[in-house]
Amino acid sequence: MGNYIVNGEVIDVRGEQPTAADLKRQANSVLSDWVMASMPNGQIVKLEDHRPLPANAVDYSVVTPFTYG
Amino acid sequence: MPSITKDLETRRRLSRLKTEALLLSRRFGDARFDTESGTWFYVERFPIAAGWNKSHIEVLIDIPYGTPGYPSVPPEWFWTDHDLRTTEGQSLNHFFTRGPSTDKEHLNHGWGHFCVHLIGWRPAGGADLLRGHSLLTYLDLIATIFRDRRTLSGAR
Repeated sequence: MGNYIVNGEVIDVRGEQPTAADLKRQANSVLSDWVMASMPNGQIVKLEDHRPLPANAVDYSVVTPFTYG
Repeated sequence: MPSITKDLETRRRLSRLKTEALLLSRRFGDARFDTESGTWFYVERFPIAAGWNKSHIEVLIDIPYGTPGYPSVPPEWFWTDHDLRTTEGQSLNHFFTRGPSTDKEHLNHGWGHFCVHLIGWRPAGGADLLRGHSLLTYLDLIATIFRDRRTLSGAR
């Protein structure tokens, strides 16, 4: 349980080990969206829905799935 | 030639863009759109993450205006400052500063474009723009793209 920064907003997510899917539900996002975690080393990691949110992530982005053209 | 603003699809799109501009202006300041035919949406000062030679960029989003158009069809291209580089002066991957002749107006204005294909677009209904995809979620995606400096710059 805790506060997470998602797309610049603070979101309160309850539960012992909240997952990417929990984050999307709490943010009222489309459930097929991607959750991307910003890691302290600057890496952006796409999280699978069932994966717990990494404890050391700086913040999160929930985005429409995409590819570059 | 009939006025394009008389077309129902265009009127609906203009109404949608007007509402989204109101919503986005609160977050990003000046947000404008093509009030004649709804073919573009513009944010003058869009903040981006550290690591680039600018802290804010212009963003111009091409709005699909066919039938169906936006919001049933997601945006694919967005334009931004053609001189955007990393802080070390490197050019960006997936960023095009040349294009077909139809884009000359944008290119001459000093913009280059990204092409981003969205998968699983679920447009928000007009009654609740915060539930589903919209230009707000598209701009969130643009912000995320600029945070992924490794992919855009090839930096390790």
